[in-house]
Amino acid sequence: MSKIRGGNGNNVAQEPPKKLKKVTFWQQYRRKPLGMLGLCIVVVYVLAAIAAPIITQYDPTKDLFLADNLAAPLWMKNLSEKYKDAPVTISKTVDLDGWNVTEGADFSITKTTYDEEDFMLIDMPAASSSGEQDPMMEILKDIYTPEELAEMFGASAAAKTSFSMDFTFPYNYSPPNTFNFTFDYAVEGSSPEATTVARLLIISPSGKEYDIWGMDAYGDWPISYITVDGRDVPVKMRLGLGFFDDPSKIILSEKGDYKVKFMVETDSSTGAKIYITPVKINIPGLLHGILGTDHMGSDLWSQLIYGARISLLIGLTAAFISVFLGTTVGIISGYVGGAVDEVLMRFVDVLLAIPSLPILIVLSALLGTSVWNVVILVAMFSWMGTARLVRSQTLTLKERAFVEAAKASGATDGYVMVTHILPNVMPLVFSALVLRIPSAILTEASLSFLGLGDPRVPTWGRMLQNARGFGAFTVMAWWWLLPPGLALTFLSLAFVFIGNTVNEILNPRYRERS
Amino acid sequence: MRRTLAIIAMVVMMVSMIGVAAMAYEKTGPRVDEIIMPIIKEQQARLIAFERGDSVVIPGLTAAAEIAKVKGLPNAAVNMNYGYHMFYMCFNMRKDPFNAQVVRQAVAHIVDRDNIIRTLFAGNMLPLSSFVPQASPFYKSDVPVYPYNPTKAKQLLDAAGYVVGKDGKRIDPTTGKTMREVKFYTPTYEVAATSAEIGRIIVEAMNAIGIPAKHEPMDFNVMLDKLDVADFDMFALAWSLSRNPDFLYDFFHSSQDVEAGYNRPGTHDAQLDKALEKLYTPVDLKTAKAAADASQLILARLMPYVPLYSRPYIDGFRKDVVKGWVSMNGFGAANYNNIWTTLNIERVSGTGGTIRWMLTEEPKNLNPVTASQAYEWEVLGRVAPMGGLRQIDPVTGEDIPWMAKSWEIGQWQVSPGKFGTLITWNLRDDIKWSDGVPFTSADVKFTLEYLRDNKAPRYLSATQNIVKVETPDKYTAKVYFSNTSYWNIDKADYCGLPQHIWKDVKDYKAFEPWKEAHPTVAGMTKLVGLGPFVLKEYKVGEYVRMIKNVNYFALPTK
Amino acid sequence: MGFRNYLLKRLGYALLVLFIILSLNFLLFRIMPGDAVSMIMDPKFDLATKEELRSQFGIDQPIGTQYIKYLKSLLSFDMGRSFNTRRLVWDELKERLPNTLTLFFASFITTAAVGISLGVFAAARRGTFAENFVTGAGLFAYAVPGFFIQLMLLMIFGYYWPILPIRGTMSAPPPPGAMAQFLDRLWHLILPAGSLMVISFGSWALYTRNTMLEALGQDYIMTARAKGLDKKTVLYKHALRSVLPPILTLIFMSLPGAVTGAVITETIFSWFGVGKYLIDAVMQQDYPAAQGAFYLIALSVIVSNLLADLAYGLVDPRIRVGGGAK
Repeated sequence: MSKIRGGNGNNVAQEPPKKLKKVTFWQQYRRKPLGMLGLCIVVVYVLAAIAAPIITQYDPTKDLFLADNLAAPLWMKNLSEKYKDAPVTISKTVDLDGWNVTEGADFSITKTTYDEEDFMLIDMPAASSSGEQDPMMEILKDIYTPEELAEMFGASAAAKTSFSMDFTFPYNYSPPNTFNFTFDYAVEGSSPEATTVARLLIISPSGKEYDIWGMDAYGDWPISYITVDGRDVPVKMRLGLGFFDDPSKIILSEKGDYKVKFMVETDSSTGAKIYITPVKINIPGLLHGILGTDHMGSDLWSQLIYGARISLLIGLTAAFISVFLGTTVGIISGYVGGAVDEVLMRFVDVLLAIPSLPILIVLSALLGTSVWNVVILVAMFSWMGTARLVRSQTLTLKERAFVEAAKASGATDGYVMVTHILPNVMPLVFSALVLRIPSAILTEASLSFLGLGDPRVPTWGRMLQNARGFGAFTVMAWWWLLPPGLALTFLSLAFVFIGNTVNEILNPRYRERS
Repeated sequence: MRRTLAIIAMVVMMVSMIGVAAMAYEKTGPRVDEIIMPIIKEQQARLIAFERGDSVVIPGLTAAAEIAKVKGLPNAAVNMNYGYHMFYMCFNMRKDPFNAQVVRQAVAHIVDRDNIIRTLFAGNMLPLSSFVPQASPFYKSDVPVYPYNPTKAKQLLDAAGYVVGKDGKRIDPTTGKTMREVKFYTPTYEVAATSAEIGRIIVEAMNAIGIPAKHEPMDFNVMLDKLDVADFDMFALAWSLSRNPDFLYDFFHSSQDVEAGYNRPGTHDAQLDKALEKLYTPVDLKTAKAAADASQLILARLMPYVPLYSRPYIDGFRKDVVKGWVSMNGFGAANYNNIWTTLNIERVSGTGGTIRWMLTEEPKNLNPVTASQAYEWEVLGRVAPMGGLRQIDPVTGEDIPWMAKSWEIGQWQVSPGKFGTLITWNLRDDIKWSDGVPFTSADVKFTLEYLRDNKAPRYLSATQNIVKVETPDKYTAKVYFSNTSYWNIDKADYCGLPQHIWKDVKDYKAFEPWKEAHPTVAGMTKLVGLGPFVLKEYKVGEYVRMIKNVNYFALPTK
Repeated sequence: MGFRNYLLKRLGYALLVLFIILSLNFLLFRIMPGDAVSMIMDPKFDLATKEELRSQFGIDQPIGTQYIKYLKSLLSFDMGRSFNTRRLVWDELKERLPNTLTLFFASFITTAAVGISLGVFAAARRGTFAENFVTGAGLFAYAVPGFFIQLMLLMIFGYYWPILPIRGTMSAPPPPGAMAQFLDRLWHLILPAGSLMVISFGSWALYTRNTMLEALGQDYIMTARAKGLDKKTVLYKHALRSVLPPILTLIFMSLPGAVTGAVITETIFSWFGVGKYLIDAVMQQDYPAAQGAFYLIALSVIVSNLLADLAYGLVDPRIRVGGGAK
């Protein structure tokens, strides 16, 4: 905030260049506890960034709905009454072996595949008019057509074959926000006018039946991809609930063993083949992982870990580009001097006078919000300080004897700049680089926080923005807010420690910088 | 046929489930002395304000988390109504592959509305498969729909000769070559995350059945430019529609397939054109209804759009503090168009007193001629509504008399052989402006002519066909249109500019009536209107405060 | 003579920067895809209406004409009408400016007061906890993301322990009475201004401490000490007086940073100010509004830079003589 401009207005004559002994530098550095602390922190971050796929099993942005939106961390179970019995995501698939056939056990039930998907094939025999049928029917049959009979007596007039099966799953938590069943279903080989009715029921531990899905197929029915979800309007409708009611809160309000029952009934005279894939059950948890989930059910812990990658990448790249630009302009300006110097320095002045955050906001909105745009923009508006610093250093170096000597021996300007000036400004450049990193990281975080970052990339700034925008405050999800903020803080502190230490060792005269 | 019927039955049931329960409401009001509207733009702050009782009405809930939170509060009531919103995806029928009806139908079959609504909106949208929103009285419930069934889509394509090639992509039977990759434009993730996500989901499903497709999110303005010159394959956007289905003409009539026209799919269908022409200028309500039905049936077969979902109006009320809000399809319970809530809402403790009613955005511009945004009308609609000679009955959706006792729709001869609509308004004689000046037919004439002559953009299409307005007496106004259309009645229902104030306005665009003192009445501003409330104070960025209009014609009798 | 030259040079240079920023501002917003008309379209508009609208917004003219018109109008603060609200941008900015200034001065004064006094305090007590605190706070100010601190403060004092308002500049409506209204405003200022103070007092304290220590090492202080003046007198009378000019300069130099820093603060606390206006306008692609807000912010930065340069020139004679080649 308080950049002290022109703080080194009076350049103190630099020592004659001496060879830096690498060993000496490290030995000096080792003795600085803050520098070492910074280094350790950065190492931890780098390790986390590299090992991100090992540390966390989820993709930070692509894995959605791992649990319910805004699920709390698992350990909140022990800290808060509210989360004491909150559910953890239940996700399982019930295949042929998991089902318990309760009606029609003598039908042929086989496993098969179709379109590379596993199916259960239930071969329902033709509906037979068994002795149980109403004797009245036998008489009426001769008088009326089957259609007319059906109209008079409803479906019961025709003979039917039924099949049902169920499975049990335990549920011992407080009610979830929703539940979800998916499977594919098809009817084949049915007579064209026949109706095949399928139903899916949930039976609660106390024996209440909830009819959550049904399909009346007329004749053959092509494969349909069925999803039954507690949030769907048709499900609420079947259960006789209103738009704002939550079926899951009603159905899963008990604890114990729930039964899921699949029933199918057909009046086909040719029998029917029922195809059904294994049923996938998903009950999104209200507790999840180390840090819970965000508003899209993504894993926050993996966002935090992957955030280290992005932050380091952005910080390093932006700082590198910025320092590269600054050094180039600084050396050219200082060495060439004259009109070039004047023009370049005026340009630097103008850039310095442009309010950086507002222009970054405007530009990133204009250019679109990709990570690289942000990196380039941050670099473009941060190299001026380095340029001034390097320029003043170059001005003093230019007068030194060894530069004069090189010039006298016929070396080109470019050669002198690269081989004589550059190595001697390197210590300065190096510490500028390190100190530039945290500010690049923080600038990117601010832009992301304002909603101008890349929405597909999990940065810490974006985590904070999401936390603010998608409900962290209303549910007091401090575990969403605190980690990315602290991660940013420690990373920038680490670089500041390193930068200051490097500065102390390499550029003792330039220590007085913020 | 039976199969279709089964699906229809479901849709009809849904309508009944969400239909408006008969609610008790009065045609008088208001029942509170003051409404304070704090302006709170941030969702979280709104929730906190509602929870703490800093505001007892939280209108226009959209975000799932927000709805869940309000729903979960024991002292809150949530109200849902159908709206006129429609999110759709549109095909370009001018070029392959979407010039083939079967391809459009196949794509319609792979749209899993329930899944989209569930995953992206947590169930808070209504699946929509019609071309007229359910809230409209012209909505036809029994048109064929295309239920989600990728297998069916594959079968349709197979049968039409679009067989799957070696690379898994289908082959166009007309050229014998692999189908070209179509591009699906949506707004970007930054601007409209859900729209972009829908694009991704649908493109994935299209590729899965062998129609090569690519999702291209793009800047909204760039997209509109492309759409204007029909440079697209398919795109997804939303419309905010209206009660009258004449918008179908703009969207699908062949004459509208011009540069920057709204017939973006490029429908050219002689049958449809005929129905739409009838729909655009129907002579009476019966013709309008028949034409609307015919258009919807033809469109369901043509499938130039695939309608996806409609956003309902969801409003929250603190039931421990207020009562009396009126549910109304098409607008919602807390919308300014729903005058019944404005009149009937009162404190649980009795009539009078103050209620606090949240505004979700800055109203900014309170000039009724230029105000264009819903937030502005949330204030203006209660203070200085532009229309209101009729109102819509919240239960039946029919027009009922309001400031006009009655009206007649007739015809007059514009020129030999050419006829136009003639609307005659018979006004009530007991209405006063909020500053006490009587409201007469001269004000109706003034308003319509003022809007027409100044070409105010918002009212341009409504007023451009008005030839003249005559006032045979103080309470009769005759509005002459140059064309014949049943819809002209809506275009004649503007009366909200008080002549005694607006006749002196020099530049209507720069006029800020709420900032200028009233010429005669002390303590009032020039924002004089016919609404049940009077604007007392507007502290920009903070709140709007309105008090009961003591001159309101429908005040409850004591 | 030297100073007048310096002054003119700085002034000319500020004008140059202003001109460049204005041009940049103009060009940037022309690159934006689409135009205003496509944003305010209504399905019922025909082409003629579109053209009419285009001419209303002046976007049917050649770009050169637009540029000249733009320059002329900005100098008279005519920033056009917002696409979004159809109101004059300058009118909208005028409504927000007082709020931004209030927040700015409130935070600035508290920050400076706390920062400088802590710095002096730390300098007086070398090697104690106070000094470590100030050094730590300085570091903190540099490395901690400010918006994170603000979010945490908002969560703690606005939501978890709701004792402070979470948004806005006043209650809706404010209590009657001038005094009550003033207090109401102050109450709403606590979180935004206080958080800004928490974020930035560290760098002030550190700077003051460093300057003080430098001064305490100067010969004349040594002399004063040797003369037997008591420690307090030396510290407050001599050392503090000698460091006041550089600190004064610092005040001016921090102005631009404080102006731009308000953008995020206003967003977090929904402060009805210019910074939030800029963000909203950018998000809604309301170019005249974004242009106007950016222009105002840029202008205030240029003016405060100029003030800083002047203050610096007055305080540090070397600059005057050296003529700005820093």
